[in-house]
Order: sequence, then structure tokens, then C-alpha cells
Amino acid sequence: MKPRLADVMTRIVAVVPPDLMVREVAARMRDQHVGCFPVCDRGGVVGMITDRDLALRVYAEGRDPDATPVRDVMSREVIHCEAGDRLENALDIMARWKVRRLPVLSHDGQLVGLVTLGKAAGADWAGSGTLIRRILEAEPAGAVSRKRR
Amino acid sequence: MSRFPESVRPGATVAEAAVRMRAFDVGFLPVVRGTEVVGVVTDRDIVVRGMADGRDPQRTPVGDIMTTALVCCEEDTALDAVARSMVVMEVRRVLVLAQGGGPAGTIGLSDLARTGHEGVAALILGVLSRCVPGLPPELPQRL
Repeated sequence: MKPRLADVMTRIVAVVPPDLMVREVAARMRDQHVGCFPVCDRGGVVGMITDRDLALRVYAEGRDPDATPVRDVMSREVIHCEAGDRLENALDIMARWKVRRLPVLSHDGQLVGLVTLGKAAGADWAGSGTLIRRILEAEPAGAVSRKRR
Repeated sequence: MSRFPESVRPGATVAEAAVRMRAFDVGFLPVVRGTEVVGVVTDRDIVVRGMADGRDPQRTPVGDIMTTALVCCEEDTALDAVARSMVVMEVRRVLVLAQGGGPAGTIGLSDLARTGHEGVAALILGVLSRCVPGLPPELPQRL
């Protein structure tokens, strides 16, 4: 049986508020062993922040991590899927936008989970191989994660 | 593999490494002393060992936050062995060393996907995210 979105979605997702300073976001990424947080304000997702965003938009641009709130460096365009979507649709969105982590939102914009490429690959690696190729092919050489602008 | 000439010296600052990563659109730089690779530094290392620990990026040398346990291969290493190194060492990318110890490039999941080995790339991703117990003794595609 083909896996469903609900089978591969992580339901307990750590999030950060938009006014948190990026030094603290970095510490949480280290302590929680994650590379990405949805940025949430009153339950609604207002952005996404990755470890790569922190390295490139804070240090490479000379910002002070103790004085830069995450809202200043997050990606504001939240590429997402909806809870009722099929897994194929979610993977197709990831492939089209070249993202490896996709928040799953309810109809009213509340965060209900997160799909990662790794989980999707693990659930159906043979069937999703083509989509995974589309996502990975677009990566710059040596990149950890594709930067979004 | 992806060939790249970019590297960073161990004495360069963390801020300089971040600028290089942005300029070259990479997330990974070999750290080279003279002609020898002595470590690697990723964008995530900068975040979890530099920023999270409160170090000053203008004063901290890359050598202080780099990873010195290298996962590497040579240009003629069999892809099957490269795939198994990724799984055992839990990395998505392996450094390719030239003869003499200098960096020749990297081979990562995206290189596997680009060259017709997307099934293997997906399988490795599944293992790394703890969804698949391990690689089978025979990989599903000829490497």
C-alpha cells in the first residue's frame, strides 16, 4: 500500500516566535538536533528559518546574532501543503520549489506537521525516486540545503 | 562527483567562511593547510558551534569549529563503498581527495541523483532519517 501524507508527517514540530534572537535559534537547532524551524505567531506560520539561513544571512551579512530577531532573516514565503493533500502532491510541491522540508497547514493556516524529504524517501524510496531526483538535482554542488529567496 | 576549487584556510575567520559559502553558493568548504586537507566546515557547523556557543565570528578561526574527522574517498573509489560510508558515518556528502591529499571535490546525494542513482540516493536518505534500517547487501541499482 502506498504511504499517505499522514504516515510520513512529523506531528510534533518545534517552532520559534518571530521576535526570538537568532543566537537563541542557533542554540535550539544545536540542542534539538534540527536544521529548520517554522516561525509561528499565534499558531499561524509566518516564515521558515534554516541553519543555512542563519550562516548566510547573519554572519555573511555582518549582522549581530544577539540583536537580530529571526523575522529579519527568515524566509517569508512559506511553501507548504495542506493536511488533506496526497503524499504525491506534497512531494511535487517540494520538487517544484526545491525544498526538503515542507510544513503541513490546516485550512485556516495553523501548523499541523512537517514532511521532510528523508521521511518521505524512507517510506517509499523506490516509488518516490523520480521526485527525489528532481529535488536533489537542483542542489548546488556541496550545499547542505537549498537556499530560498 | 562535483569538482570545486574553493577551500578555506584554518586561520580564516568564521565570518570569512560564511562569506565564501555565500559567494560560491556552497554549504561545505574543505579546510586546507598548505596543500593538505585538515578538516571540513559546513554552514551548520558555523551555526551550532559558532553562533550557538556565542563565539565572535570576526575573531574565531575556522580551525576552532571545523570537523576534523574526515569522511573521504579517492576519485576511483567504487560508488558502492561511497554509499556505505555515508550510511555508516551518517553524512550526506563525502570529500574526494586528490593524490597528495588535496581536495578534488565532493560526492553527495545530489551527485548520485544527477547520475542515475536516485534510487540509491533515496535509500541513503531513508537510512539517515531512521526510516529504513540499513542498506541491503546488494544495492538495487548497478553502481
